[in-house]
Amino acid sequence: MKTKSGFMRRKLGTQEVIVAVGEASKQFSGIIRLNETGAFLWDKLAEGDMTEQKLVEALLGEYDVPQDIAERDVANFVKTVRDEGMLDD
Amino acid sequence: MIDHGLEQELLTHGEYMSTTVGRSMWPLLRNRRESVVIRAVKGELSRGDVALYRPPQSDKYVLHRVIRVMEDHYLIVGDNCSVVERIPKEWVIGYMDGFYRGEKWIPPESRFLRAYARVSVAISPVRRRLVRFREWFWSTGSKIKRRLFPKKS
Repeated sequence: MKTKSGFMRRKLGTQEVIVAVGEASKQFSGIIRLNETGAFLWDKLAEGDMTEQKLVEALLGEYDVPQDIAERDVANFVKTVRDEGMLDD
Repeated sequence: MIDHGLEQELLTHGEYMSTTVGRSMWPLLRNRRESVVIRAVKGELSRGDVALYRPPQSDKYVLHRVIRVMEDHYLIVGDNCSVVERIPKEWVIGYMDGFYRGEKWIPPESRFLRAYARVSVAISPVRRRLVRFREWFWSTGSKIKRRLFPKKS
């Protein structure tokens, strides 16, 4: 899976957010606020050719976090961005 | 620009980001291309600021430039529009505080943005004539082009 084109990570004050531009903005007009982990996962998804397992491994490699928490965080994040139509599977 | 979560976000976080829709602020803000930072309004805006307002009973937000500050209202117009709006100050909920043009961040204090605002406000008295001239120019140009290069049937 990969992030769809038109969904961009931007800095808003001290936070990172996702906004849609171009055709994607017809589908999604709000923003998604990201915490540090969310921004990390988004960047990994933007690289493309990602699976939930790969995301969990990347998260475990970057952060000192228990496996079950990493799996839960990745599943929640992927569900959120998928539900908003931001992913190409 | 329609976004029902916008006011709640401004209330909670004091800032928001949105992609502009429409051509009323062209060429500064292109349709669905630029992502603008909106900050909740505190106090009075100044001449040249880009105000975000929503008329009561409407779910449409408008992002246009303040060209004059009056006692209880602003005179506001889109950079690409000729009609000046008289907007009560209580309708204004935010203002543009910089924007992304592609990947490039244009900060509100940039010389470009400040100069652009000054020029936009300065030409506002003759904007209607400029818009009409531009329409005439393009229309005449198209007619001449059609005469010089007629379509082959």
